[in-house]
Amino acid sequence: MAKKGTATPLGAVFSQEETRRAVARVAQAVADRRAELGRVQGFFADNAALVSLVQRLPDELSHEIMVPFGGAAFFPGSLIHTNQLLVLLGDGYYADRSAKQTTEILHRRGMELEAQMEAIKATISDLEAEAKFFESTAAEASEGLVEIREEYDEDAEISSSKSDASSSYGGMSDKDMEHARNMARLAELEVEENESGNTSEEDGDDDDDDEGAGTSEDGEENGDTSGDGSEHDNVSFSASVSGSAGNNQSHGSTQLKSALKKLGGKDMLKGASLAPSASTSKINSEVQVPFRKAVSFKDDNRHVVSSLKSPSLPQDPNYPAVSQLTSDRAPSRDRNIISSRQKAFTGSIVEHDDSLSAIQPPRSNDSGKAVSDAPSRPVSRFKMQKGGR
Amino acid sequence: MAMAAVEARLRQEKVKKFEDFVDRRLKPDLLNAIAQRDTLFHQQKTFLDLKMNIENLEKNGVTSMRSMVNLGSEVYMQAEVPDTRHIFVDIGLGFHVEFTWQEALQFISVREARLARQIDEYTHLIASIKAQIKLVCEGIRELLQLPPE
Repeated sequence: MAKKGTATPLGAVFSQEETRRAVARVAQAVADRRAELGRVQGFFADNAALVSLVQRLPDELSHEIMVPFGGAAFFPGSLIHTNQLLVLLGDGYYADRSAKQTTEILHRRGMELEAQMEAIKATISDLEAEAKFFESTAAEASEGLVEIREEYDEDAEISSSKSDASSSYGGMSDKDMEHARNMARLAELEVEENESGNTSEEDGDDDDDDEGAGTSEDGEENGDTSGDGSEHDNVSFSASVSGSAGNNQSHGSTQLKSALKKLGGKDMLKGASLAPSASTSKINSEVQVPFRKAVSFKDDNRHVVSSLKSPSLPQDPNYPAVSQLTSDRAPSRDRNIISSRQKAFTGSIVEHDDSLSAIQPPRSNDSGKAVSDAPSRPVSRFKMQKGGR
Repeated sequence: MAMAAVEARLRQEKVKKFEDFVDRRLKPDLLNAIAQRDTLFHQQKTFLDLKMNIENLEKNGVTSMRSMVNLGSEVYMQAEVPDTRHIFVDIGLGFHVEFTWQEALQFISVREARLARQIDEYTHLIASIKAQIKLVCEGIRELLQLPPE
């Protein structure tokens, strides 16, 4: 387990002399580039001046100038044919161009020069960064900085991590840390949203660990109830919802309430179109606890198992209820929102809650009350709804 | 033994001093002198060209002419000189004097003579610098007691 590293003083790796030479070399390169840049900038300025000159020359028919005669003599004379220029295209080829065409050529040359200047500037900045690196390295070396190196052995790392995991202490500490983190996050969210609770995936994981039996059963149940595999995602999500409820009772209840409210409204609408018996039974179950048995009875073609199971989870009654809630309503658009973005869960539900309560205030209130009053109730109620559907 | 060591060290120092003198003083001087002479050569060529051009004008009796003026970046425009009998010649320090052809030729010959003398001076200077370099190198060779080449 004991690993050996090496500690090398930077001063030993980079000698003072070498670093200084490197800095000098880079500085020289930068100076060269700067000279080059200055030259190109001179070209660019000349080009710009020439553009303005060529643009102005055709304004008049002729200009009085001193015509150069060789390198050291002039004749007094004048420019003629001021809109006719002979432009060197390169390689000894010349073209007769008008002032306007010449201006275009010169503009293109200017752009080329600009590109060159940009390239040189980029090179200079690169070199300057290099010089800075050398200087900082030299400074660090002189300060007596030490480089610590430790060989990475993959096998050793894996075995060590395994041993950590195998020791119960390590696992517990991890879990504890996660739990603490979750709790901190919950507290944070609590401050943010007073009315609606929030959930996070970590919560769900945590609860999975704590209440493994309930979760696994829940999973089975959902396997029974839900037709398509995609709803399993929702199962885990709902588990996280219930987990938050467990951790933070008041939040969980409000959240659940709102969720159920929405569900109630939704189901009510659905129930109208579907079998009337389902809707009526649902109403009954929401209002009155005893109707639960009738509900489960109706459901028993598919959901007897779940309804039977619900009493076996007195610790966390909301748990299966919520999972049912989400898994039940496969076709609903809201469900998609929930499953895709867990954070949107509370938000979307709250919004719907308002709208639903506006449309059907007594109905949604009833459902919410039913859940909050008798938390064990919703399990059967939702199963019933599912059966009705 | 100690004396020999001291002597060797002194000799090394002397060699170093001589080498520094060659590298830091004589060689830059030589480069400078050569550059100066090159500019003089250039001027000499310019004036030689001018003289030949004026002689051509004279010979052909050209009184007006057209030429192409370089506006910069190898962009040329036509220019007309209505009267070539008067020419403005650079006499140095940025001054130009209006000459007739004969006056210009006279001035050019004077100027050429002067340039030739200056070039001669520089040639001598260069030769002497080269000789000094050679001398110092010989001194270094003697100090190191190497066989003559």
